[in-house]
Amino acid sequence: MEKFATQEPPKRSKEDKSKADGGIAERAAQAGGFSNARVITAADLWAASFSDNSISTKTKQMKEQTAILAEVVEKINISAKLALGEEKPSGGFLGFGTKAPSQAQLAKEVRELYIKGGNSWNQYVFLANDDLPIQLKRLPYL
Amino acid sequence: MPSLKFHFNLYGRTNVARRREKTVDVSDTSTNLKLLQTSNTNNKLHVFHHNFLSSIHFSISFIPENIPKMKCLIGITTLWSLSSSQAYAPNAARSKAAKSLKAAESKLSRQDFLYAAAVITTATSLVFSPLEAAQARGRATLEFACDRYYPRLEAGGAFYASDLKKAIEKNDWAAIKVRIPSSASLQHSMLVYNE
Repeated sequence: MEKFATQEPPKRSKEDKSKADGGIAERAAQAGGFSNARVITAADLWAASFSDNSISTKTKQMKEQTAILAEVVEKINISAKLALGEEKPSGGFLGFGTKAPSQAQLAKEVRELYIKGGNSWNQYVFLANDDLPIQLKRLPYL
Repeated sequence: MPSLKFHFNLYGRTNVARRREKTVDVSDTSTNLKLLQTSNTNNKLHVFHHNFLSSIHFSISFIPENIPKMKCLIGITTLWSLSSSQAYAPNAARSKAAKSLKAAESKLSRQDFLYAAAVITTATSLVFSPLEAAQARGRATLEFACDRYYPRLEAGGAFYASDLKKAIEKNDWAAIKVRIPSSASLQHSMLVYNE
């Protein structure tokens, strides 16, 4: 398992520029197992493959699901950071008056997000597999 | 060597006639079937055709670059189609075209003319078609896109159903956190995977 499930790969550094492939392989390997870079971008590009000159309904519907997934990943990330104390809750007046959510609240929120993301993923898979040419592999549901 | 002069119009996007004259030389000298020799230089299109019946030199001396190639092709095809060319010509050129085409009919048999028309059309398509590279887009790239993205999507789904689920069940925050969650990071990640 990757260290962080939804971690993005680091930005390109000066050291990366001196490498043969620009450090792409090394940075790509650091992307989380369900990060934007590894999965959601691929899902977005796969959705775009179902359009020709104009954006098809199928692409639009699939991209709606990827947008939900991206939102879920971002919210899960924020919850994780709040739980780890790496980020403070925003809101209130000039940062005052906001109450940090408890671990239990965050855990509950993350579980809800996980279910929302899972449903969205399954809907994405359903749309992707619908009317897919027979020679192409179908994506499995969760 | 019999010579035929045609008047015709080549239409661009604005439907304005750009050219109104063409010369075709026909002779019965060649006995070999040499399909075509074509050249397209300095906005000149030359088509040489030799067969056992005739030798044709077809030349268009001016092809404006801003006219779509397909429209040129349509214009040329229209030229060789006797019945439809007059319909495209404006009134001033129509009578000239009619006279010229009658002259052509008197010197060429219908079979020869249709054969030449087919040859010219083929020649024109041969000249124009290789100039543009084939670029697959959209659904034509589906197999390639599947090869490229399917492994990541499959692995992502499996990860979501197993490892991420376990991490959430255990409240393992470090395992599920995201380092840079922003729209900028999404753009950045696209760069990483598509460089």
